[in-house]
Amino acid sequence: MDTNRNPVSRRGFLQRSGLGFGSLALASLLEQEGLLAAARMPDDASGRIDLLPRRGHFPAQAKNVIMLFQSGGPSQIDLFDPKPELTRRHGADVGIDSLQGRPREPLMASPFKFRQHGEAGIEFSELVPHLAALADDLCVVRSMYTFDPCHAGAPLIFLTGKLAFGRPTLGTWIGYALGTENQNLPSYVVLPDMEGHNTAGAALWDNGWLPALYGGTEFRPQGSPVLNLHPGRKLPAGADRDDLRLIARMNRQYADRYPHASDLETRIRNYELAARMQLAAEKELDLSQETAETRRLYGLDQPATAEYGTQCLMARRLVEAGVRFVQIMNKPHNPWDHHSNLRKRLRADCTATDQPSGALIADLKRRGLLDQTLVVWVGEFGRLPTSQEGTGRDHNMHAFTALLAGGGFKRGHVHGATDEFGHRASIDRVSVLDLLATMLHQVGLDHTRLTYKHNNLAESLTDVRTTDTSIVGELLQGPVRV
Amino acid sequence: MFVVCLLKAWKIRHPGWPVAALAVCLAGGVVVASEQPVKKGQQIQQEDREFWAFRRLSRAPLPELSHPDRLRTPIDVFVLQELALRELSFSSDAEPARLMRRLQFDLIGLPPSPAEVDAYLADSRPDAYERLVDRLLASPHFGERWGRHWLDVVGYSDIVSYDGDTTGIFGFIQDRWRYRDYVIDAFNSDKSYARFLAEQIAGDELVEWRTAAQYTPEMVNTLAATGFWRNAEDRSESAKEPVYKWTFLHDTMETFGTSVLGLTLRCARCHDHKQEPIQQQEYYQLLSLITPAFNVEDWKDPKQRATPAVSAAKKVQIDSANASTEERLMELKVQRAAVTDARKEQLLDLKLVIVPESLRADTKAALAEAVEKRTAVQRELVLEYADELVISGKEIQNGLTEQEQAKLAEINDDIAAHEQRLETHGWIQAAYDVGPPPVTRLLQRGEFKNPGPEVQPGFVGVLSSKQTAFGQLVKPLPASSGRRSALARWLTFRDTPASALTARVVTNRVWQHLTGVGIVQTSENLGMSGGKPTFPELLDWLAAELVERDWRVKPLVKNIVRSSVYRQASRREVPLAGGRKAQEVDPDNQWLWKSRLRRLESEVIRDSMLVASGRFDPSLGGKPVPLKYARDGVASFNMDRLPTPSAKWRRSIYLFQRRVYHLTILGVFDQPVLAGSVCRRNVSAVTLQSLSMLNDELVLEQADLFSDRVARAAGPSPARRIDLVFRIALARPPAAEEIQWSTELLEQQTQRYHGQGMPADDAAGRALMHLCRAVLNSSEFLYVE
Repeated sequence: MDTNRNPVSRRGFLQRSGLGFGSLALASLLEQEGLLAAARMPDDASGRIDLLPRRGHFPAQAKNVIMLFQSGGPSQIDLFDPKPELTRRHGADVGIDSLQGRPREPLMASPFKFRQHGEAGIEFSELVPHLAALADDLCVVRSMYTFDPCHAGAPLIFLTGKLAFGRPTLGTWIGYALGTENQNLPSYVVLPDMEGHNTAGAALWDNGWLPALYGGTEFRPQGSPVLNLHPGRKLPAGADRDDLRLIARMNRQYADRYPHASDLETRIRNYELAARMQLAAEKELDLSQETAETRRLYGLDQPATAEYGTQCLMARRLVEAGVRFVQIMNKPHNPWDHHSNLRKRLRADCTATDQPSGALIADLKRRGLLDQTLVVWVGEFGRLPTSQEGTGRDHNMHAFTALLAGGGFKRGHVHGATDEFGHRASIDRVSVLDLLATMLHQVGLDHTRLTYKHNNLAESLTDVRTTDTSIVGELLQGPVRV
Repeated sequence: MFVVCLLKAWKIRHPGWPVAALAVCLAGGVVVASEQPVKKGQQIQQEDREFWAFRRLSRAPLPELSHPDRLRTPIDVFVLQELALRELSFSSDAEPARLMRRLQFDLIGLPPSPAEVDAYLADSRPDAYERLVDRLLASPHFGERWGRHWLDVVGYSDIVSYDGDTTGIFGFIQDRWRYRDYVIDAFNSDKSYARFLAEQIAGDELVEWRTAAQYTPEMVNTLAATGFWRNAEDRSESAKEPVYKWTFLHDTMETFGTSVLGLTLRCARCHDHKQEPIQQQEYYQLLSLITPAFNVEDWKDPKQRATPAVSAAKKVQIDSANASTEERLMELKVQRAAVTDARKEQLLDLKLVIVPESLRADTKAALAEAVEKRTAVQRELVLEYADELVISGKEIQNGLTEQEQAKLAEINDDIAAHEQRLETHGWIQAAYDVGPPPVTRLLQRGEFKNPGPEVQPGFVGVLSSKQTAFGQLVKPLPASSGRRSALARWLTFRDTPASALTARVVTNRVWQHLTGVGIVQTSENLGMSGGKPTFPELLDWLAAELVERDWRVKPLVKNIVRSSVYRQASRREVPLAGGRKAQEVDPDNQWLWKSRLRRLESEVIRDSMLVASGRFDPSLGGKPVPLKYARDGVASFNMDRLPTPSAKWRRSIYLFQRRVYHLTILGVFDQPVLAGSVCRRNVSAVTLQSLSMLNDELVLEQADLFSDRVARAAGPSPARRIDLVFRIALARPPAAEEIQWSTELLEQQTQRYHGQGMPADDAAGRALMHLCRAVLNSSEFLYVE
């Protein structure tokens, strides 16, 4: 009568079904039965819904990814891509059109000084001294380009592969493919700024048509880390436990009525996990455990850097705890969108983010975690070398810079170049999709084989059927595998 | 290179069932690949016309079957035929109470009350079930339940623009809800689906609204129906660039194709469709049917498109009645400014000390200057200092003398009183031809900057004949091109491939909503790239029935729920002949040997909690219930702006509908992003759902009210309390084990609260809240069997 207690059908069940956030006990059960060891990404694994860790298509160079997404479009020309020719021809009209039919404007030199850093001698602007100090650890891609010049479209392309709402994001794909190490936490955690979302909002961590289990879970940098982790009102100690017992009993009975409905099994485990998460999430994110030196490193002691520093420190804690993909979003209203007063505002935004970003990379390195963690610092596009009404710069989809650290990317390396003014990527161009494919490669996934059946089509992140995406081997320490 | 392979591959089109599993060009797909050849003049092949979904409806003769005892309707004959082929059979009928609960959710989206369950179980008349079906079909909640399905399909929201900012709502326009209410009413009145489409597509051409002295309610409704064309993201109010107008047009085409035709048109925007026999030219021919209303050369932004919900003559009346009040309002606002301006300047002068003295006067002058008149120097000064010189309303308020504050309050009261006096007329967010039809051109590679040859209005060729060509169907009107009316006629023209597809699409969706999965699983796509029908003859038979009964949806629903297929249990009690298990023969229950266990949609879950607590506010229609949005995206009720205290307990369909940011618990239970057509909802089981059901204050509030209701109705007896909790929440009495577990819980929680010093009665009341909370958290509450 109770097929779940029959070991054969139970294994059948486990193979067939999703376990939601599976429990460690379950993982070990699978291990005992030799299932976990066999778990490897099939080419199209549509239908799987569990978080158990899995091997990719080939050995991974990075276990975890931290994405520091810089909404608004940081100015490559003022931060990472010095252009002496631009300085020399300040004020000249060289025929670069403004966006969206605005009148053409002259070139505008960067008001910031650049100098070389590290043994690699990579040039950085004075605004990012902490990132510059890590020059020998960074892979600087100066020849990035994308396909849309707007704040709604470009981040969607960067994180979902296309200019469309409702598609799964990079973090979703990776969690779906590889599961995660810590069964008490989600595979994909988003650390949004408490002040709000940026353009495109929660679509930037949506699961799209992949199972919701793999969508980004928002952890808050203040208060309780997960929405509704605790009741909004005070309940007496132990009251929850008794309620949970009745829920578990009823749900077990109901699941036994429908032994093939895997989601009923998932629901039972979700209540178990909810209880574990109450402990785990708070423990993993209890930053009071950090030393004063670490807190200072991330700038938690300074009002200007405390917020971004907290997000960065949380990111380190989460990858330490085994979370596969962490995505940090910055302040709302696209802070890097310096259409005006770039001189003042760009400096302020760098002050808020440079030290924490650098601290994260340095801290991961000294803890030996940088080898297995890929850190990406990038915005959705760059900015034009021309001025916008004298004090700002408009969007530029043709050129921007990405910084990568760890995860098997080259160290102290500059890849590609833009034209003499920094207007267009001209040498060794890297599209956002190429970068996505390369990031997938480093976590052990072949972007052409990581597919999911949706509406009868084998969908993928980079969609090589309509794009000419390829892995950029020149960025990597090791060989490109297929 | 990939594109070349692709082109080769797709050209091999098989008759009947194309393997076409190639995708090209998804919405806004980034096509980086080199130019794709435009194949001009490609003829539609006979085999394309013979594709199952593109044929006229055929009524297959009912198959003869040997065991007729379970055959209640012809539907059963079709399904049983397929089951018999696989040596499968129907499961037994569901237990009456479970069947009733299923029917309630499917037809009206609300659970039955214990009294209704008892009455149904006690009804021994042979037609008790049919009576129940008829009662539910007649309920005004039927339209809410089925209207919601359609609102998903068209991607309805109360805003028009995109929705990417948590707290800032872009593009809110007045009174979008008239379209929502139109849809609900249409389902309630069982409007012919053909008429329903005609009104949405061309309602403005069906009624004489332009010249009417007074609008009839019918005129208002029919105009509101054209809100159908206003669902796509329209950013043109804030973004004037042509790209946003084109994006709106293409998104609208996509929604039209998916919602009505069940076809993906978007690929044909850039080139001939790779998977469907649709040429690029046909896409632009279709587009030209709506360009008289959405003319890129003579664009109306969303605010400009709003039409008063009263006739032009009535509007003149109202405006003149308001004129003197508005004049007085202007005066009052000038008076108000006079009080605050002096204080504002004082505050500015105080703040200006941060500016070096030599620049102070200039900075002050720069701030006072109109933005567009500022000199370069002034702009620089504003950039440098304006951030620090902002003066908030609160600062001004605090800086006023008591006398000034009193004066200000008096003026504000006066303003509020005058505003109340203004007569309002409300708005309709309609679509209508804004002028004569513009020239519509094919866009090469879909790029609006790259216009090609002019196209003439037309329909999808593979679904058309000479008889249904555009020229045959169009009847120009004095102030309108009649193009959209022609489209509506084409879609439902009797006994044509186009009307056959239209009927199949809607029939398939009705089947999906009642059984969990469509006969074609991809209910958004019945084309060659869509899924294959499991019961094609049944689909055609049902679609033909629909058309024959004047396209009425209620008879179709009734037809399906009367069948044995629908009435089966969702568990298999008895094995098949020979001891085989149906589960092993057909593990996904593709062939319907039992009913499907389904998780309820987000709205149904919330609405069911409201019914359980007894606080459900059943009022129908009208302005949406206001929500508020925290910066981190959490949405809750805007208590300050609720029109009535119980408005927060209205059905979820009436809550303010954004595209992305839904009431948080609804979003957690998979209410979809409404930026385009949603034909099938995701069903997830994530931990956030468990956490929300356990801890969200909205749920805890319902558990409180639920327990109050039970305590009042059941008295102090724990046994009676437990019994009532189960009957209300799950439409069944508790089983012996459940009584024991629940008693245990009540005792434990009572002791716990009592132990904290709470009087015993109150402690028992708190304990009952915990029982209610636990039962709301049970899987059974979230599922329909």
